[in-house]
Amino acid sequence: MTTAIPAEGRVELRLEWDGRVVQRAEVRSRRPQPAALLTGRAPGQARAIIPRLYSLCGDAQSVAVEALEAVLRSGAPDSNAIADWAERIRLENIREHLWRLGLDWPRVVGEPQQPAPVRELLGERTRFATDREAAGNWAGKTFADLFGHANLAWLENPEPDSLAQWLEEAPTPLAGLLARLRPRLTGLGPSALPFFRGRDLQPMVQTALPRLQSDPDFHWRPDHQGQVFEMGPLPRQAAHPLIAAMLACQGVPDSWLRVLARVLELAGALDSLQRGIEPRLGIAWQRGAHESMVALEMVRGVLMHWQEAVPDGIRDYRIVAPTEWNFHPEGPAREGLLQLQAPDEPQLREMVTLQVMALDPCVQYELEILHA
Amino acid sequence: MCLAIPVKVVELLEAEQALVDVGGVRKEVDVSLVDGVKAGDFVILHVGFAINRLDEDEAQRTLSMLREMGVEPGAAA
Repeated sequence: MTTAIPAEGRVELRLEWDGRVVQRAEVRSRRPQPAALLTGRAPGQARAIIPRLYSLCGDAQSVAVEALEAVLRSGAPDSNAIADWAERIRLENIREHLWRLGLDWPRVVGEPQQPAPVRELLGERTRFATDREAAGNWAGKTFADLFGHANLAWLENPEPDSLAQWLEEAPTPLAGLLARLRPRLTGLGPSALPFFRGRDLQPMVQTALPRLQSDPDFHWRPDHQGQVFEMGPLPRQAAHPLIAAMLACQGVPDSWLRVLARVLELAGALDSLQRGIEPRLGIAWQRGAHESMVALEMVRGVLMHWQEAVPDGIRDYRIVAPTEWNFHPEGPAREGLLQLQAPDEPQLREMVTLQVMALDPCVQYELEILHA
Repeated sequence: MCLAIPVKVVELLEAEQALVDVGGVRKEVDVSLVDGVKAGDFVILHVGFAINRLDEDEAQRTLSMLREMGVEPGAAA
């Protein structure tokens, strides 16, 4: 059986534009779910199947299914397993950040792509997960290639002037890329939706477990106590001194802050890897009578795996991806698109591309523009 | 939640590009992230890049699972 959902899933954007302003915006995200493949199989088989199905976020998906199995088996994962998962997720997060900043954004602004660090990490990820010295050496070299050595006060302090100086003077491709992006992203995609906070992870799991049981569409349009959140690097970096200062100044986050938060998170992750600092993983779980679920913080936000199983096997299995929050029908993507002003359709399409990329869906998107 | 779509490399092109078969549809992709890719290999495709090589049996098992999920790999092209 095949469905209308394309192989990699899709985010659909439909805008009503009056020739000047976007008057209405609809956002819908759809993707294949693994339930059809898993229903009737023994619960342990999810661990063999799920990791095969996902590409760049494969480690996060694998960790989620391993954690779910641990919850089913013994009620909770052990600390050694969580430490191992945290390292895998850290490396995957770094790889994703390098992909966005080295491959995707340069393509959009016409800068040369920087595939080398992504290629190195793809090739060495298994070794780096256990060989801390090799991982640390690679992280130090990559940090220097990306950031150079001068004018880096902005990485730890609330100093926008230091950032501006680095953008202007640093001889690295990343600085050149960001200098070109800043004027195009500033003010674009504003959203006043609250940020997801790590301390809400366990309460979210407790409320999501019965919601997934009772609402067959919850995974398309999740909420927590009626609220939709923005997820990803910006909420995680909201307390960073530079981000906090810029948020206090401008009030509402925009696409530039989202990209800057990604850069800061990458810098922090490379620095901690280089210095041998243990990563921390945001993870929560809950076990019910027949259902269990795990939620963990991965690069784009919270990833949830939920499974309903009876003695005969899996009855249902659903995944709530973080893209479902940022591209929720009432989420930050829609907020940012409403009232977007563009003088012509090509510029509107370009501005939408920039906004969408800053929110980083895990699938490609389709844009339909209706002339109001 | 990007699905890992296995595709077969049909022909290597210049500048680390390659022609792959995605469910019967030919598509040009970038193979610069994986060392030593050659025609006949199966690779995992992610937004225009090959990111991993796998053997044919494994590729066919994954494709079979994707079809069982209701996914038509050709739609990724």
